[in-house]
Amino acid sequence: MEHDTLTFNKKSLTAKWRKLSTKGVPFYFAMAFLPLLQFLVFYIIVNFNSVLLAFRSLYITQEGGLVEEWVGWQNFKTIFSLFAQEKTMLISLANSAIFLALDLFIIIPLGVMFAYYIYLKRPFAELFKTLLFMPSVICSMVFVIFFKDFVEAVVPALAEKWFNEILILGVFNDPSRGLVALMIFYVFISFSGQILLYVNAMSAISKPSVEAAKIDGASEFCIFLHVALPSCWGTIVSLAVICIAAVVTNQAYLFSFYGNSAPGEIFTIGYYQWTLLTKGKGSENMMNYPIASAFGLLSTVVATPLTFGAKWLLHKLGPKEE
Amino acid sequence: MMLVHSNKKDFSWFSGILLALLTLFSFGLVFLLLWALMSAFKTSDAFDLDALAFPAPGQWTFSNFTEIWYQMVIEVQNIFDPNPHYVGVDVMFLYSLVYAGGCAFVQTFTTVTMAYISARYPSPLSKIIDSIVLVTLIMPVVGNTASLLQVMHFLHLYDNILGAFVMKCAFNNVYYFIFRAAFSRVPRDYAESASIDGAGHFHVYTSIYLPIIAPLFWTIFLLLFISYWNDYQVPYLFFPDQPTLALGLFALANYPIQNGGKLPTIQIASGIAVFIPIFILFMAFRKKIMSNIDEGGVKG
Repeated sequence: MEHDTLTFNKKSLTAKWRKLSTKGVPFYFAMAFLPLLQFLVFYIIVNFNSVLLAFRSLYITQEGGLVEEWVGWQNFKTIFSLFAQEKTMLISLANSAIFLALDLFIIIPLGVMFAYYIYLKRPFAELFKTLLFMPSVICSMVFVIFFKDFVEAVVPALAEKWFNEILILGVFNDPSRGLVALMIFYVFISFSGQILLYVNAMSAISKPSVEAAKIDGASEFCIFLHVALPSCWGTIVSLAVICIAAVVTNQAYLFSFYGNSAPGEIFTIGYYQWTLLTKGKGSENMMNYPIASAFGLLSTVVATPLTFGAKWLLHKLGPKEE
Repeated sequence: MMLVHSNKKDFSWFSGILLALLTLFSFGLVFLLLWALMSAFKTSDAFDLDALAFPAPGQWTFSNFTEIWYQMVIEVQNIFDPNPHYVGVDVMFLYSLVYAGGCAFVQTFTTVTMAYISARYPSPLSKIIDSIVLVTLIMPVVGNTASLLQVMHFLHLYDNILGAFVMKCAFNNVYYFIFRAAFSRVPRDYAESASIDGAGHFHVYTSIYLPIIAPLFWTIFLLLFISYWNDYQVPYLFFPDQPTLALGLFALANYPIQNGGKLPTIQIASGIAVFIPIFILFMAFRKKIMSNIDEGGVKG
């Protein structure tokens, strides 16, 4: 009797397994298992640990081991006292705001206008499209080396020749000149990621609305403002929101140009956070992890409402297609 | 549907200003690249004398490129031997290939697989997977790198190029939705016919669906490959003892000459040497890459 029950259960299980196999359940879980595990470890656990780490401290024992200790809000207090006491932190905030302003008021508007030019297939549009896109394909370090060496070799020579001015520190070692050079480079290299997105968004513009606008005597600029801009407003909002969310992590190529030794006057908040992780080696470097995590947590707290607020505002204030 | 094929009559002041700005940008870019190309073949003395001038017949040299072999070297630690080791361009090139190729492949394959099971097998878990991708793309989580480093240390994946594969085989990226949409467009008849013929689920996936979306798969692979090939920050932070070419360039550019830093002409020649292969790759697949990039990623 017991034997029959076991046989029946076995048969029943086999039938169930066959049914599940036909539906593809084993295949589904076999394929999803590792990616979901990866997500669990590298997203859920990493972010959870990041929150915990922000409330901890790491120190090296006399034996050379690394010990974790719960310190409550101490890391956050340290960060706020840094902002209160160190001029560099306030300068970093201001510089981060400058680079965000470059993104929002120069790079995005110019990018949209350039895309419009390409979309209209004006002279050399294909060539411009390729050249604008190229920096996103080529390693940024290549452009950093070319630009840095060009500026350091050519600008001091020209300054001496034309203005009789000797730049003893060069350009990048002089914080004010270095910041200007960095801003020029930042604008120069930042169009590449956006152009094709705008061009593709504009490809959805309806031909009749452009023709109608032309018949009504609308100028090209007018058509840009009232037809092209609304058509890619969603893309503009997405890219603007990405820039706003990244304001706390944007290094503005400082690490590429200076490594860990940028002058404090040109720090950004993103660069400051990055150097917490890159300065020192081994245990010495790991001692910075808690403060870096606290910084990260604060950054997320600042970035989240800012991002959603900006998205809501930009959608509300955005142009409507006429 | 590109609608406007303008003629000269339509050319307004607005287009004129844009043409001027675009010409300025293009001139700057091309000038910088040509200047770099010229400087890479210039002797160091000629460069110091006048960095802008076209070199005279005796001032041309190829030695900047041969010097890369000796100068682009990074000191690394080996876990089996406490003495420092040196990694040259050849090994960096291999590390770049492994890192870029490996990460691009695992990320593309993971994403395509998750998109496939989510599109082909509607279930509560598929809905959860969709939501995971959507939420993680919307939520701006920043500054968790310290924690990630700690987790990598804990898992013994730190300073291991294979650890980067594990770290990068994530499906929560924008390409997930592109693959998902591509699979949704494929008729189910193919799979049903194959199933009737006795093909299993894995066989249907690898022999029918994957080949159908292969062009999209390889386009995304190529985009990711280029992005990882150019990345130096992840190698710097997560596997510094297996430096890639991009990290080699970073190291070359960021040591002052008095501390063993390299001459500008050698730096520029190194830049040219790294620039040319990717430039050729870009020009070869330019239309494919550029025409496939759509809002938020790539279209099929």
